[in-house]
Amino acid sequence: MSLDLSYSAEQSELARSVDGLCRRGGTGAGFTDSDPLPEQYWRGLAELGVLGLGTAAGGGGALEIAASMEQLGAHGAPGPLVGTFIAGALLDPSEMEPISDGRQLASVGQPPLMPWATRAGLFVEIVASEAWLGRPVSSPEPVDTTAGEPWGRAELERLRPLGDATTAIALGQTAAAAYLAGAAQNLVEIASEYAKDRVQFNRPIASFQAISHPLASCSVSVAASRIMARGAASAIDDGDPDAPDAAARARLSAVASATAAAYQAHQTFGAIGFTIEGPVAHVSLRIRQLSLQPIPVASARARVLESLGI
Amino acid sequence: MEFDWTEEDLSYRSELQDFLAEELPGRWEGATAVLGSADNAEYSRRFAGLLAEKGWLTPHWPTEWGGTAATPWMLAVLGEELWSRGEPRGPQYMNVNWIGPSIMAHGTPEQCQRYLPPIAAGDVIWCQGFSEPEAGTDLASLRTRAVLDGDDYVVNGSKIWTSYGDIADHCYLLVRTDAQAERHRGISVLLMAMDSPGLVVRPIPGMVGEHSFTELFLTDVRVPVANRLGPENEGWSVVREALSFERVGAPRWARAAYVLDETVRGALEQGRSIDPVAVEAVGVAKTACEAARMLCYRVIDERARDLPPSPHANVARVAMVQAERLVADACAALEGNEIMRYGSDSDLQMRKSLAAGVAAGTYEVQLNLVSRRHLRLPKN
Repeated sequence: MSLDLSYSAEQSELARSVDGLCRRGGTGAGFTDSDPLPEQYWRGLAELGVLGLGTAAGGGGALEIAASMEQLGAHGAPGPLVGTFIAGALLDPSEMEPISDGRQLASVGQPPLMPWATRAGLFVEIVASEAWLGRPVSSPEPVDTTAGEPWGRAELERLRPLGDATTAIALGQTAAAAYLAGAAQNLVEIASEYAKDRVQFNRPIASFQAISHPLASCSVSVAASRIMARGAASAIDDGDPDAPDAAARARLSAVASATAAAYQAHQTFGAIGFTIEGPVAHVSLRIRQLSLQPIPVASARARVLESLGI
Repeated sequence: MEFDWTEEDLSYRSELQDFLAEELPGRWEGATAVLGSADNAEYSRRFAGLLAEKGWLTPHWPTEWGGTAATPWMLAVLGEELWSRGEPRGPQYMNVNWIGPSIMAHGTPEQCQRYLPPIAAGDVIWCQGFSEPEAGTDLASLRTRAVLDGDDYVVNGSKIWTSYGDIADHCYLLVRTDAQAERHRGISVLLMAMDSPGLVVRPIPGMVGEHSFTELFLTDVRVPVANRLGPENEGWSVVREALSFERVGAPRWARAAYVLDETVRGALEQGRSIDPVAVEAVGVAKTACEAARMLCYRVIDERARDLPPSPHANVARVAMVQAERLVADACAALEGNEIMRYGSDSDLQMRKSLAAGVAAGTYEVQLNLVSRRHLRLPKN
């Protein structure tokens, strides 16, 4: 067996470009502006080719998606990212064009509650491992979510079956896992930096093991989650039959480590972590939301149990 | 051992529940979503007035100051019922629980006469000016200076993370009155009017409510010496005593338990499938709420028997933080294919659970206190 866990030079270059775009788009809390999806940022992702990754036209595969998503997670960047990649794996290139170009948003999920439904131009319904192209019967009823995303409740009319979505779902699980791992990695890093600077009782708080040990523990699980996400992406690109199971395991690992990292970042930053302007709140809310949806985390658990024959 | 509610406690709880069932729906539920908002504050003022009329705002206070000398258990019943419904008293629970009692214990007759009746009537909002940018968990390192000038202290400095600073009438303010003394010994408490010239309040938007915090900037703010609470430079012991029971004064477990019950009820009513992980998370969370409740009761029992504050309060607080987090995790698991909706009970519980280990003293410090005082482990 050979194990190369690092991204290729091209994948790393893509990751750097995504990082740069996020920084220009207003890092961190900049994304919590009144507009839940700044147009310049979303168009920027399209121009970098990120929104077309995994499609026949756009090229690239799961590893490119994972490399991009780690960066997007690190910035707590918004948008229907996971759904875009799932749609890309299911739809024809011509149908995906407006999505890949950033002109239209894809809403991918399990009705009635659909992500970004009030803004989306394309709807994909997923139930268990099957998918359909859909159309809302009437305009979606707006629902604001924990992470400040404009979701909506809508009944979908099924226009066309898109067949078995197992691979597309695996890609979605992997994309979510990479985002969560990137978000968690960043939280552990900025919390560690803050702990070195913040002085209480005449010492940097990092010198208290009550602070340093939980951060160290988080960094261990985050490291595992990153490797698992990359491993799942690589398995998808290689057409490995274990890929859907690997993707489910990666998602579960990332949910656990990102949730723990968010709690610990809040403990380390104290009150600053709860401010909208601060570096933690918007990321921790997005972690909580992406831990649950748009592909239900329960489906990842079911997949792992099934692989064990349970 | 007697481990049951008295008839009196039970009938009080039932009367209170009837009142809340009548008063709250539609008028308060929406306001819980935006803690610190104008709607929320306005409703809280009106609600506290209603409680005062019924004698339920300050039941544990002595009759002299508008109370009914009720037992700590009745106060606990009141706290549980109100916290479970999202604390419609708003910031006034602080007035009633510890600011008022602290003024009673250390105030001059004039201070008592001036400050206590408005608290008992429910028409005044206080905030606490404790934390500073460089003095959070290490509160005793606070630097806001108060220098004597004639009959006034002239105060300069800043306070941060002050909840309700933008709507409060008065501030229970900690200042340094002796910069040379050992850090715990040079602190005093001032009762400052929030319309004092030189005081600027800046809201800090937070993730739990739109104005969950404020920052106070004090530039040559004059506070009369007559507004100092307790002896000069003795403020640390004044405030420690005031807050000694406050670790269980806000029964956050009651809110967590209520949200858990309601979220389970909602999931069952809608016929949602609840996966095994969610089932287990609910069981664990429910048990944690019950553990926190019992550990809080141990502290209330001490208070009812007039025993001095003990490490049991730290233990109860740790258990409450754990319960709040476990309930948030269980609610997240329960939502299933529904996402948490902004402003829903489970969304708010999740936000509060993130703050639970920081607000009102960090989880880590409580664990230190439990290890030293309860387990008698050495410091460092």
